[in-house]
Amino acid sequence: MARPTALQRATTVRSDDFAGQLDGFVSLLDGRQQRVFDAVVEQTRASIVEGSPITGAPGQPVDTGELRDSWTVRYERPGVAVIASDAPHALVVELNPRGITYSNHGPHSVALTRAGFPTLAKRVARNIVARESVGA
Amino acid sequence: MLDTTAAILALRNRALGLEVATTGSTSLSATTTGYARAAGSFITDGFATGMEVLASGFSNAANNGRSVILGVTATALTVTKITEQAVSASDPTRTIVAGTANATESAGSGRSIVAGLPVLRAWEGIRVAPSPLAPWIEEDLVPGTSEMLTMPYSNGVAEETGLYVLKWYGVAGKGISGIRKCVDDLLARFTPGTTVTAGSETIRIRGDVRPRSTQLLAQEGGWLLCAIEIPWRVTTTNTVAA
Repeated sequence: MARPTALQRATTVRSDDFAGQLDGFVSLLDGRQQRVFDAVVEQTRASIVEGSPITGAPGQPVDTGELRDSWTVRYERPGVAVIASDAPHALVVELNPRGITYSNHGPHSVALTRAGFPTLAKRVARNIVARESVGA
Repeated sequence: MLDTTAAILALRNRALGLEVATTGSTSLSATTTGYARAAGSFITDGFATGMEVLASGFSNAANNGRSVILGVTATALTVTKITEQAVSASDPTRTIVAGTANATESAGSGRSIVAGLPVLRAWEGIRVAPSPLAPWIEEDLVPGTSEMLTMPYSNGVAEETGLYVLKWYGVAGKGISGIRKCVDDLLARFTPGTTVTAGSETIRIRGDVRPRSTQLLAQEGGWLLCAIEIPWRVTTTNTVAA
């Protein structure tokens, strides 16, 4: 077998290094993607239930606390989470027929969270990337 | 800073242009139960039960005005006549009462029937007493976010977002096609990219989060509620207060 040229040796070495670096990078991205996903889900839930200055959602009105406590997060499959309430009056509070005024929080929290979701997701991702970059 | 009064008037004005179905100017007759035509089709024109319509062009004034469709065939509309009025002189609450029934009137040209926004409108600050005779609508201008996009703050660009929510209360028991068609056509007036002018600002209907309608929700009093959520955004120039 002919001896590899200097260029071939260098390329081989660099390919191995590069493959290893790529593997490490993919692992880093996978982990970060999961952390961003988890944080986005939590911030979205918080926006709907407690309210959020990022989305402008007022959060769920609290009287007995039944509605607030009815909101749950269900992970259907990787990358998909369903935030839902099984309270019978959840939709009525959300749509606010006849314009009821609440003493705390308010209606349209799901709609405002949906409208603010692109900003919310962007900020969560930016914060995590910034924090981990500093940490690295 | 957005002039919210101008904003709600601009968005409302966009909704007021709704025309769900129309005969156009054509030959129509009036019957004691509604309206009839010899040519063309009410069904093809888009009319459906539960819609509120406005008739005009009839010689007998009683045959003009508003009514709610009870039944539709190609050549006949069966309706209940309605009229809007204040509850009393001292109470500005608006309501709907039964109107004067149609009188028989032979066919004549230059008449039209148009289905659009219900006349009973609970605009912000307006009180209504809905009647099971007719659909009605309600509006909310819901503030969302407000933030500076650029620096410095003086003369910087600020962005405000929010929702314009229209709630359509259709009369229950008259099917859902009328409600759905009205809501769909209303949504079509607020497609992403649509702009309305509010004072010196331009409100844009968002495309990253599209306007949508909700599921139908049965309401006490005999209505089916369907809400339309319209996300909007506006950029304004920030003026630092003196």
